[in-house]
Amino acid sequence: MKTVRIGLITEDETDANAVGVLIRRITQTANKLSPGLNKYWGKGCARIRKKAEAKMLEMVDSGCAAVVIVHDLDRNPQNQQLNDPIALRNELENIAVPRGLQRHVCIPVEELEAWFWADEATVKLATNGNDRAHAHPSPHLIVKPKEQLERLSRGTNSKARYNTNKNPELAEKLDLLICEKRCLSFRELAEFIRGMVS
Amino acid sequence: MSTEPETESGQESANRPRLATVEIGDWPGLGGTVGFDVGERITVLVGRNGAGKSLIMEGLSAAAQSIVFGIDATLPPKQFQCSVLDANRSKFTYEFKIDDETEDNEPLERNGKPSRTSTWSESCQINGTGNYLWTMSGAQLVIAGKPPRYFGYNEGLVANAASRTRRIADMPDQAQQLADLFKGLDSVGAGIPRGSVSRQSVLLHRIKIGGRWHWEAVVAPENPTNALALKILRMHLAVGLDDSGTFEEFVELIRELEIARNVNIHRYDDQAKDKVSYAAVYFDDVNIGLCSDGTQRIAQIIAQLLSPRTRCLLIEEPETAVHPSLLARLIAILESYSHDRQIIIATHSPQIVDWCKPEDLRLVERIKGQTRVRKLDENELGRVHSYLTHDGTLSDYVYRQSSE
Repeated sequence: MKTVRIGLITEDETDANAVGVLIRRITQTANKLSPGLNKYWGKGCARIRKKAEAKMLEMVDSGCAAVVIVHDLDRNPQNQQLNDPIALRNELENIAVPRGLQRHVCIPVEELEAWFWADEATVKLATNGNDRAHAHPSPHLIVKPKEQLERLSRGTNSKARYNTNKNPELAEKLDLLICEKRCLSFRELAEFIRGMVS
Repeated sequence: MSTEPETESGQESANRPRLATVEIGDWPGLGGTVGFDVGERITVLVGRNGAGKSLIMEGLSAAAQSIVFGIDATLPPKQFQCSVLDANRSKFTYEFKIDDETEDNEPLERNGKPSRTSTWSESCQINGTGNYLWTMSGAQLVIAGKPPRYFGYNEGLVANAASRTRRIADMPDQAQQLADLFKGLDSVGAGIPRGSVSRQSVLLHRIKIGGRWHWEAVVAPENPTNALALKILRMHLAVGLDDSGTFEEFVELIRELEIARNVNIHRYDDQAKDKVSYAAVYFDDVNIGLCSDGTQRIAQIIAQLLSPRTRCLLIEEPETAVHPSLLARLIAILESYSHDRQIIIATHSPQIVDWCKPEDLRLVERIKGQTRVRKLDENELGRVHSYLTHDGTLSDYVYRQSSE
């Protein structure tokens, strides 16, 4: 059993906070210890690619043993098709990783919010208990998962609507086992983290 | 198996009529007619200082005021046109025009110029058919299929639809839709609410005006900070709201943004009949008038965003006095509320530009003394997409372009 410091590179702050919560929970489930986290977020693939190398060097210096790079598989606004996941993975894997740092590239399909759709209780929490909101067996098939949560959270029950600021709270409640079962990108992340800490 | 979860909940509000295009003509400072497509949810206007972003926002706001309240309510643009997408996804176009006419028989005014009166003309037609739903010109209203009638000079049919007391019986649906849309066009201006006024507590009092009780600030009710305190109090009292939960929603968002743990209303009621009551709004036991500029600014935007009346919210420079991390959280909230209210933002913030989709961006430019607004065309969107993948962010692209 060992503790570990993990670097996290995401597209924005809410993603970093939500994935940070999930990594902590996976680690705690594996060995009851909380990991140290170094977070960096930079908007867009190009910004991440340009800054990631320097950030990873800083992460190594501050004792990180691993880095997780999270990037959504976006849609092309011109044809509304999902971008090529292999091309995106190649782009991100081409970033030079400093010696001593293990790297994992995590690519949620379309948006990280798709993971929340795996778990009924989390979907209910996000949508203010909307009766029409139900978990999806294949969350990666949901088109615009974040927008769907926003739409379903609208109501007149004095509750604020779902927005991405709530992602860390949802990540705290997410059923990790069911999410692993239904979301390949999350399963790969969980396996990587468990491999690091066990 | 469906790849889309059910989304019927709240669809009726999402399908409310919305602005598709707007065109402002003869509005001082723009240098000519300016029009642009309005995004389904978000529209972000970017451009250099002096390009005309604020003028556009002010022109839209003034046009909406005069459409709803008539010519005398404000000083509107002389021409305005918009197309509206209704609940059935069909478009209709509305326009008004204000003519200044010299009245030859009137005596000269003291400055030697002839006195003038203004006449309101408006029309509305279904797009693609050429059929007018109504036209109004020279104080004569013609509704399709009905005989002409006299209608006054200083307001149109939409203002009549917006009125609770003077409404005509055979009103076309589109007039009511336009009335609701423009009554719900609200704006949050640029700058910090307290402006140049020094920091001081805000106290509200309930006084009798014309036999009816009203709440207003004890001093300077027109000051935006005082107006904000009044708005929050009215939310708390559910004055003019169908849903008394708006205040709770407001407090939840304020907590979520971590600018206060609690929003409290302290009331000081005099038990004697017909005596003045006082109230004050506190964010974590700090009077709202003493809160920071950023706190007031965020509260101002959230309070307006939550107004059930709001159909289209114009926000000028939401980034003013707001920390980037807080701005990111505010942006997330704006996005989630843009499903059933359009939001038009004028900004200089790279953070906001990076958040918006390239297709929601409108570039405001000043060319040879005239303001122009354009969106990225198909070829440019392709280049932007490639740029975002390989080179940088949308703000890099936009500000790099405008500085060339």
